[in-house]
Amino acid sequence: MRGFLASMYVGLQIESNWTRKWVWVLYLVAYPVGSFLSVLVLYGVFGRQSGLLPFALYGSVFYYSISMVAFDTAMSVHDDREHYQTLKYIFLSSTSYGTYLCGRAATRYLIALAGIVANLCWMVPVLHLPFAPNWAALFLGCALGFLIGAGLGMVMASLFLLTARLDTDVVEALFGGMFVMSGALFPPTAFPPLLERIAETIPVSGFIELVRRGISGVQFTGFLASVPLESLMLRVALGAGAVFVLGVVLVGLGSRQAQRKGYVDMTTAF
Amino acid sequence: MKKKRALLFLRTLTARAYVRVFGQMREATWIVASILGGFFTMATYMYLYRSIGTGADFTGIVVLGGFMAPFFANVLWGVAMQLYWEKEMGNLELMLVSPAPLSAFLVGLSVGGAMHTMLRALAVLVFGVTVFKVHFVTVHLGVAVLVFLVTLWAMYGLGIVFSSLFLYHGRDAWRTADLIMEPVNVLSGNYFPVRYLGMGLASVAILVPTTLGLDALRQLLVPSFGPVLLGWRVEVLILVGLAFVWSIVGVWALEAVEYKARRDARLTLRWQ
Repeated sequence: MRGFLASMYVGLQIESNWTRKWVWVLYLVAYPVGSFLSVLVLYGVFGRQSGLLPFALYGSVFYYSISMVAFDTAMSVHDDREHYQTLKYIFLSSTSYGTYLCGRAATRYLIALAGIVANLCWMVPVLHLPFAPNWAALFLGCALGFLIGAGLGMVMASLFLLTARLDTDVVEALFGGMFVMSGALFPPTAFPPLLERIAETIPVSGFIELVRRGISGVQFTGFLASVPLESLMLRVALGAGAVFVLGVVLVGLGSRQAQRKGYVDMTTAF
Repeated sequence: MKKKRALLFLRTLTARAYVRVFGQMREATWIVASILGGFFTMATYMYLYRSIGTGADFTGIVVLGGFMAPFFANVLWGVAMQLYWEKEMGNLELMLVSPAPLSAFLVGLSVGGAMHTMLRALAVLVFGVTVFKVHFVTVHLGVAVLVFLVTLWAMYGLGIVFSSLFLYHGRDAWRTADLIMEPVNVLSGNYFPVRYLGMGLASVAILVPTTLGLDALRQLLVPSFGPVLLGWRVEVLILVGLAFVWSIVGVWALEAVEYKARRDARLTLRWQ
């Protein structure tokens, strides 16, 4: 636990100590805007009739929360190994690398959620978004979102531990693909039937639908409409648990291999 | 003496462009992932438009946006941020003690960056055209290519302006680039006609050359495109102006910031 908290603290310092605190708070609030600005324009201008603006806004902000966590968790391998050259010291410490990554992911997730909450404070009244929270579903959804984000981040981190040049493009392509399939921006009912089936099975789409229903109390589209809230929670919990366990296992294996192969202190000017 | 300096500039430019083009080809995963990333973004907007019932009208617009998007990403992350990366890796001091001018490095980066991004952007374009069955009108193809080249010139000029600003700064530069990436994509109308933003916002957005470049290209290649921001001829004139302005401001800013950074001892300051 001490290692986890210390990692959270390190994460907070890395995220925030590049500027003054008040600038960082502004940044924290401004950053998620990029995730929903296009939604505001596209649904505000072209999709007014569709009534899908709240669907897409909630979807894109919550997708942002897990993509940020996964992206930053994965990229922390490159940052720590190549940029700050501290990865070897993390490995030497008594905290396992998996715990360290979970701590970093937790900080990133809390920061992302804080940014989302700050933006929802103005979006809900100004844009008249439906807001009838089912707090149990919302909190459970947020907790499961962390497991998904951290799990995916650890899966990618395990790859990065064993490679020198896997680029941000690889993570971006993965998350680009998941963004299309997740139903964050549009209902996957727009897909051909096979793609819609795939979209239903990935944990990210279930998570987004869960928090969307949890915060708005509304089911906006026919996507996963036949799944009641309780079943959706169970389905997302199973998916999130599986992703997280996979991440922990792969990071464990990746760490051992990286140590064995001498990749922990490798610098390639990448 | 002038000839010698010009030769040095050209040799530096070629050397940096060579590294950028061939260095980016080393890893197959980079190429595949960046093409897939661009394609997925394009697919997202395609399906979004389909789900709100405007799919057919916007296919060509979205594909052209998907074609141009990698260039802005390259300007921001490959040119503007480059001096920051060089500083962090410890190369910047070597570059500065060499007789090669810093501006030649950046022009070389721009040329090389534009060339390697072109391959990826073309692949995204081909994917988009094939998968989503887009038809472009090619009557004005020659003019469109010219408009595209002028747009690139102006964009990379803007990249040099940004790089001089980011040279002075530390991690805040990286955060700033991350922060402005998506809003600029939206402001430039990457996936919709920028005229819908209203003239007020659009007049700010034209400072980013992608805005006018995309609008002009869409007018030339997508016959049903509308509403337009300005006529494409006017837009090309403004783009040429922007290209000159950003290039001149870029070189001037680079010299000014390099001097200030030397004076304040920030050129070798890492991890800040």
